[in-house]
Amino acid sequence: MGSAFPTETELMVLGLLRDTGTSRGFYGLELVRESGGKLKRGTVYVILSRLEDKGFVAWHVPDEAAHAGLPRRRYTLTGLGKRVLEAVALVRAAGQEAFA
Amino acid sequence: MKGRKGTGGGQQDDDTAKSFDTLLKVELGAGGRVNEYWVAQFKHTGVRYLTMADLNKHPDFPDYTVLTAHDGKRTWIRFVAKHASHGDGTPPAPLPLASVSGFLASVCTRKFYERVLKPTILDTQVEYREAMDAGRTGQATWVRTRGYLIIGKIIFSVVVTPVTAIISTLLKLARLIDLI
Repeated sequence: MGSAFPTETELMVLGLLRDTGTSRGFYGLELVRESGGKLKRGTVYVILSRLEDKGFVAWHVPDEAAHAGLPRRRYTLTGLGKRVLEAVALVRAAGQEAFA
Repeated sequence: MKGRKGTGGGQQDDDTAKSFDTLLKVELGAGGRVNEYWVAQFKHTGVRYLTMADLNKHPDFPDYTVLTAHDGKRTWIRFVAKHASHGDGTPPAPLPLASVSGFLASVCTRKFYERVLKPTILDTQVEYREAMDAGRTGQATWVRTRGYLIIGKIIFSVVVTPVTAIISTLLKLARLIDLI
């Protein structure tokens, strides 16, 4: 079983969801586009699945997508995901100060 | 609600269906483009997800074949349009990966299929549909091909890579034992 702590790639996905995502969330494909090539289509859902297991992201199927017959999921950051991002930012800031 | 309930291959009027606390799953579409809808009206709970009037608005609905199946718990109704088209009279090409999604769902774990493969397939299908709607057939062909490549890559990375890692670990262990 993997660590509950997010990896660098997972942190990047969480950051994307926080910085550019709206309350409506992101489709996986939108995350790939927003990442500027850092995320690949073949891996984005593997990462999102891991983040879902860790409780950092949640998803829903918007009404319009279900109506179109292609019920794609929109992913959003959970409260836990936001807190983890904040904690990582604090730790990194503290680390930078310590080595400055 | 004007609906139909099928039991064991037959069909009955919805009045009969109303007497059952049954959830109807409707698949509507043509070729590989089959969409799923829930048509449910429970007599006891009063839950209704979609009416047949809603289905009648669907462009594929007027000319359809009804297939039914009953698994002892739910009645499944599949409406398959005979002559669905994009409006120019030509039948739509099946959506990419539609033909393999059922196979993948049956051989992969439910979690892996639902969380990884299905979203990837849906993304490919959305991109394909967008390209086709815009008349960019070349791009649509590329999206279709890329979809198969991505699914192949995912399966390779999930199935083959762990197996090679296990073999590698076993070989290391064997060397270690040999040294001892």
